[in-house]
Amino acid sequence: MSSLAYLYRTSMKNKIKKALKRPATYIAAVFILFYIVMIYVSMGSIVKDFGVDNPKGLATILSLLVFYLIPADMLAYIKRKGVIFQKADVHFIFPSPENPKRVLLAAGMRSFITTAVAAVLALMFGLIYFHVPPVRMIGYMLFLMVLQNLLEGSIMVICYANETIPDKFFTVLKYIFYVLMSVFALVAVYLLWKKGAHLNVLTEYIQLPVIQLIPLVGWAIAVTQFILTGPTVCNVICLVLYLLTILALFCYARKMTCTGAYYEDAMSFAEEFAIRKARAQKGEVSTGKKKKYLKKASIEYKGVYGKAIFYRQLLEYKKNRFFIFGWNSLLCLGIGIVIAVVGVRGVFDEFGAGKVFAIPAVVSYILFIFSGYATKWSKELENPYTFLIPDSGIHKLWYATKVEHIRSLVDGCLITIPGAVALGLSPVITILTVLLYMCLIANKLYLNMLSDALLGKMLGSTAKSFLRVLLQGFVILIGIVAAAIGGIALGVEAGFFLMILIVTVITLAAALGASISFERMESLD
Amino acid sequence: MGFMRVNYIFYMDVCVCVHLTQVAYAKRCTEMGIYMLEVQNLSKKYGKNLAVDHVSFTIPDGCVGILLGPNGVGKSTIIKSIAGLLRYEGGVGIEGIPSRKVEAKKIFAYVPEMPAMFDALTVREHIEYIRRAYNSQITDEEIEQLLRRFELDDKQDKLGNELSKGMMQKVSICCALAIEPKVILLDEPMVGLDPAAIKELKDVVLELKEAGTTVLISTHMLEMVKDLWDVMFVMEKGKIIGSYTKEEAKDQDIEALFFEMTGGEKHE
Repeated sequence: MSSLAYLYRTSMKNKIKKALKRPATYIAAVFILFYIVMIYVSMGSIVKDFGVDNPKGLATILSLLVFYLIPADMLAYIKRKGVIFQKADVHFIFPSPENPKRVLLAAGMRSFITTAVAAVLALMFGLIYFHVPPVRMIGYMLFLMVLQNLLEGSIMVICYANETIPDKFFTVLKYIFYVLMSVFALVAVYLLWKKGAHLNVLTEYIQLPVIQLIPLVGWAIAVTQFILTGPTVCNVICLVLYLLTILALFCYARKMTCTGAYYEDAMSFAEEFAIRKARAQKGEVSTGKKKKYLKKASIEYKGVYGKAIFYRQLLEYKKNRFFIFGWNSLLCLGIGIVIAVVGVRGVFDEFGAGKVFAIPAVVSYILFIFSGYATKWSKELENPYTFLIPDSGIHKLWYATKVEHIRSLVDGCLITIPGAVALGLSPVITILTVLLYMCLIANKLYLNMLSDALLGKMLGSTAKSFLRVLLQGFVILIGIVAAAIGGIALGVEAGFFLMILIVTVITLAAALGASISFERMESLD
Repeated sequence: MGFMRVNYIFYMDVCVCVHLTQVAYAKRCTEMGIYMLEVQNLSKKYGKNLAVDHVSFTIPDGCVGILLGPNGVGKSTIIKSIAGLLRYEGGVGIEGIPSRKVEAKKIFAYVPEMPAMFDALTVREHIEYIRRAYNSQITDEEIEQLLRRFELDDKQDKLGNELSKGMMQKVSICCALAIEPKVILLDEPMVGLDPAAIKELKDVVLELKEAGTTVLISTHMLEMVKDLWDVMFVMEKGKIIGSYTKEEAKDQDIEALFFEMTGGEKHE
């Protein structure tokens, strides 16, 4: 067995062994099983309802998936960021006497296996729900497993391992790709504008010769159509072009010499990926940016002990290009504008007086689905100095999260004011809505901290997020009940105020419980 | 790169035609002008920043070379370039073979400054992987002995993500030694090690030297390498500003030599 085969086989074996010892695995397995059964039961009727329970319908769906999958993969390879390497690969595999092309293909194995699994799923779905003849479905499965993987592997090797083609070529290729994608988008927009948004338009769209003749992406669509719905002049030409391209790329990739110059890019991406992974494990959304450029700034510390944490954070934010504002602020403003536009169109009018709860409802939903964004407070818990500062846990918790409350005030204004103006809400209700937003954000923050403090390393980040979502869902439910009771008994404003009061009390209780995290570092171990 | 081509062909001839012991072969190579480790005109840029500026040096066979200099002068960049992890201008030869060639990689080992383990491999499985990757002839008994020396024998079944930084460093050193290399590159190897492991590593370096292995250590901890070195290269701002062999230095203290070259002062 080769060393790489040994490495991946042993890793997989150990991962499975470890997973089998964790209770979370069994809980996840139950959920996955439930999910599979749900899909199995509901898929048939969904497919029928949409009128796509035939080979043509499947061909349309799979062709649309091509748009989603192939361009993203190709662009990632062109940028030399599509293959995931670990830091341990850099340490042990890169300096070893292993063929760099084989190293690359082994690292890309996850992608090939994913394609193979997708091929098997497509086969099952095609036979069960779309009534495609078995021969055609087997043909499609082989197309994905063999041809598509061969094409992806060849492109991967050429983009990463080439040491003769100048970088400029790939920069130009990247822009050509963007142009091709724009062509796809423009044709789609034109058709939708001309014929309206119907499923038939999508079928017509992917059968257009101008789409199918676009290299690689279009050709893959044509091959899909060829296999599932039968030959046409256009898709046969595309099939031939596709096969010839694979042959040419495969031969070139195989012949090309590679000494491992790509290791430098792979090493830098491995570091970037490790950062992203660590952030994702904390439930933060990562933009993948490795290094931030910071401005020069200064601050006057107007307090001692725990307060110093707040001023240090403020100094760090002042060094940011956009101070405390980030993509989240933009998102809030965008949502605020959407609520305003929808409000102006009178969508919320049917709720009558209850339309004052439209913004809180949208906000609660968004807070529910988004896991979070990068904050400074969570990093405080990784810093031993936080625990050494001679102050109480609750003080340190407050000053470590104070900036977040200011940020949520700003974001709350951005998300509320446009909608409030459009819906004609009173200033009092507008202020209460902003306060509610702040409360919900604080609630989420402290419940996150509390679930961390309670569960420690017992369960993974997914389980912790699940617990947090469960707790927050419960809090929102209590808030809704309070609002309903207050609203019926004393009026809308009072209902609103009662909701904020209840959420605030629960948030304070969560904060008090979470302050244990700031007492000693081992509380997270 | 011409010199490397010639030396590579020559190396193959010597290997095929003459059966020599490693020490004798190393001596023979030096006599013939082939160094186990040779860096020629190495330059490396990160964007516009020139990290290594036309650096050249050779380390005679079976000798311990040390790259000295403060943080950020380019020591790790040189080591990473030799290990084939970076693109660079210039040439690097391992026993006359360009260092990126598989033949060269078979005979050198690399211990990075920041070790990184495979999360799902145990300590023993890391070594097993190395044994396969390098087709190393190290025996199970020798592996046991190695793990005992670095106090890892009771941690063989620990997974990579369960190890402390110091333990990772020890595993990294054991993996490098399991290759039984002719050239070993150690980038700040003492960082994170406990005193017993530092002592063990020093002993290992002296044993490697005795066995004819060429060692290159990059460090800023002068105290740690004062008993080990045969040739030293002092770096400043990406350049080698001076070098000494043990013979040239006579009995002079390494710190005195370093501060003499860098213009700093030794604080007693």
